[in-house]
Amino acid sequence: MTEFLTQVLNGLVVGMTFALLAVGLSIIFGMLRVVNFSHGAFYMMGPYVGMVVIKATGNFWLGLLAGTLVICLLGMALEFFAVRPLYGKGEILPLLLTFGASMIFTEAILVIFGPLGMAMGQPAILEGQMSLGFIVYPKYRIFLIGFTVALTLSLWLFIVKTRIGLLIRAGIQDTVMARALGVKVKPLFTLVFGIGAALAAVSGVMSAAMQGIEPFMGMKVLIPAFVVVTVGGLGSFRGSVLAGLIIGEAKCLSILVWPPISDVVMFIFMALVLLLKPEGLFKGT
Amino acid sequence: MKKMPLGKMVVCFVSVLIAAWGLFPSGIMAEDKMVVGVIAPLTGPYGFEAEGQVNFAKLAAEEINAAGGLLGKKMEIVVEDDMLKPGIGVQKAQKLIDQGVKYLTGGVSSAVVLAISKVANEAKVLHLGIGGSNDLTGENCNKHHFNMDTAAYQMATGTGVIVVDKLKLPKEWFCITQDYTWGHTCLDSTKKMLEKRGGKVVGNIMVPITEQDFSSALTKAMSSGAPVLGVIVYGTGQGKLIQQAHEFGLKEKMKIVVVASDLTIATVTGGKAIEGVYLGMPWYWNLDNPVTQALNKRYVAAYGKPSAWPGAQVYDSVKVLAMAIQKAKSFDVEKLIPVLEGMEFQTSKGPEKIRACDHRAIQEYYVGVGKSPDKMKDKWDVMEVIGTVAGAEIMDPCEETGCKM
Repeated sequence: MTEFLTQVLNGLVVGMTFALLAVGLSIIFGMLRVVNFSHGAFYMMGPYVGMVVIKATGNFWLGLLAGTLVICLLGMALEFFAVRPLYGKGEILPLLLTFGASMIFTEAILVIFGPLGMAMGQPAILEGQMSLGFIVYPKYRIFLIGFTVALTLSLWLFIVKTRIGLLIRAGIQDTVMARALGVKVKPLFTLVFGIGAALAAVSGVMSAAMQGIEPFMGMKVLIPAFVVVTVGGLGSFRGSVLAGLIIGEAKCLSILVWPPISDVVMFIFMALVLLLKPEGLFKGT
Repeated sequence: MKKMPLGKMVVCFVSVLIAAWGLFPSGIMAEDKMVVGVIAPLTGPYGFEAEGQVNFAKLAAEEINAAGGLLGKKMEIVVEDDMLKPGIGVQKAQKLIDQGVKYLTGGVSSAVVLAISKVANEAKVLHLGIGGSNDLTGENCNKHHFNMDTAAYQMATGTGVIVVDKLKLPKEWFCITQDYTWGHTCLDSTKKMLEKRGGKVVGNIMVPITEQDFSSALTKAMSSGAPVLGVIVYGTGQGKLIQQAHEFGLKEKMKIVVVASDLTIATVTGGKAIEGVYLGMPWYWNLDNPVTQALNKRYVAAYGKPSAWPGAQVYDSVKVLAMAIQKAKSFDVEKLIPVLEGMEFQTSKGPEKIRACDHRAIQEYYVGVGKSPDKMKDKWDVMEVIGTVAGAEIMDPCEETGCKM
């Protein structure tokens, strides 16, 4: 029973990481119709920026904030200067561009920091385990689950309850109509790209505290992110979160049954969903 | 079709020329030097070890050249990155062989070293590869491959002699193993070692070679009830595993024994994570041995910080190659092979000997215990060596290795 509950929690940790990544990827596709291959690079660079700040200040929270803000700005800059000229020219060009950008980002990190991985460390107050009645579980992971759930909820409220959120949803649903109704779509696009990048960076920093940082961590997480987005439905916020959680849990719980399958279980799940419901779990936001 | 302006044509033509020039192998075999190729996984989770291998090779070459070179020629080290992929390793090996290089060394992943050893054997090129899989000097041994690393059975037996026989740790282990040739053979050797002593591996979970998140594997280990966690994971993953085990409070329930550890954990773990963890290694920078101390001093003077044992083994390989060339008075690979077989040397630690039947180096194994942070002089001072096993005690008999040369 203890093992089961621990794996459920592990699944939440993995699942929420996937969910954050997927939400960012999904809203960028939903709104901009851009398949953002540099999403993994944002996930990777967030912790590098964070680590530099942590080394300078000794404060994990400043590192988290810095990583998120810097990558948000980087994302917006990428959209403004490189992706924007390609709107209206189909979906292949932005895909290629973001793919190329990801390679540039990865090489830049390799040049600046070298190919070796590094530890990032966790905030001191979150070290150690906490008793949850039935089981004992690392404090940092419990914090991660709580923090990411809160972040996701806040983002959901932002999208559903605020005016800008309404404009974003309108832009996702029908860009042409939204523009025809006077919505300034271009700055919204930049904002959404920035939000997506920021989510990837947050996910990266939170993971790096558990697993360390290395230049290729983004490439490794990109495929699972796309799987989650595909299963959840391209452009769907709810879909990304739900799919992320399901796949995270599947990955960890399958270890209880037959460990070797845990690596492929997400692909099996994706195949099933695509066969039964090709557009993914949810349509729309 | 629009006619291309002249300027653009010239630029295109020149670019094609430059690209073509880059594709053709440049001649690196000058008359006054001999080249040793180091193929190591500079990119990826074994980067720290690979960096050490390159540096140690260069250090050895410098020392050899300072002493007058080899039969009038200077040694030059050429480096290639195998990126931890056998396909790329083979490509790079072939590239070096095509350029006329006759001596290859390096390697951390047995999978890559295995692939290269086959290419080297076909090309009749000497391969002093570094890899712990039993297979390299077992079923897939060949006469051009010599291995200064400890085989998995040496690692498992060496660790067992100290941890089980001497320290009397419990003999029921749950293992976490990296899913590739070294991991598999090491798990087999660990099983054999425990069963010989009346114990057993109560359970095992395989993890991919690049895994960085061990939370699920560790959860399974903790719920197995076994008193000892056997760690058959290498590279940065090992450090992550130990760090995460600490986060989960595993050490309160189980002792942790790492069958093949190395200094990389110093770059990945922090705080009290490695305290009390048993770490087996074929070499450590701080061994209580004058040869090791002197070598480490020279290395740190040149590169600023100590390195891990795969580097020291490349140092051994280069020095052993030089010794063989000087003894045989020849650069001919076929003449060097019989000289290398049975060669005794002591270049980085205790005395070693290359066994003729499988080309594996008979060498000491060491086990240390991880220090608590307040006892560490610097981040590299990770452990205290608590046991040494003599090389002869931990060899599998020739007939049992499966090697037929």
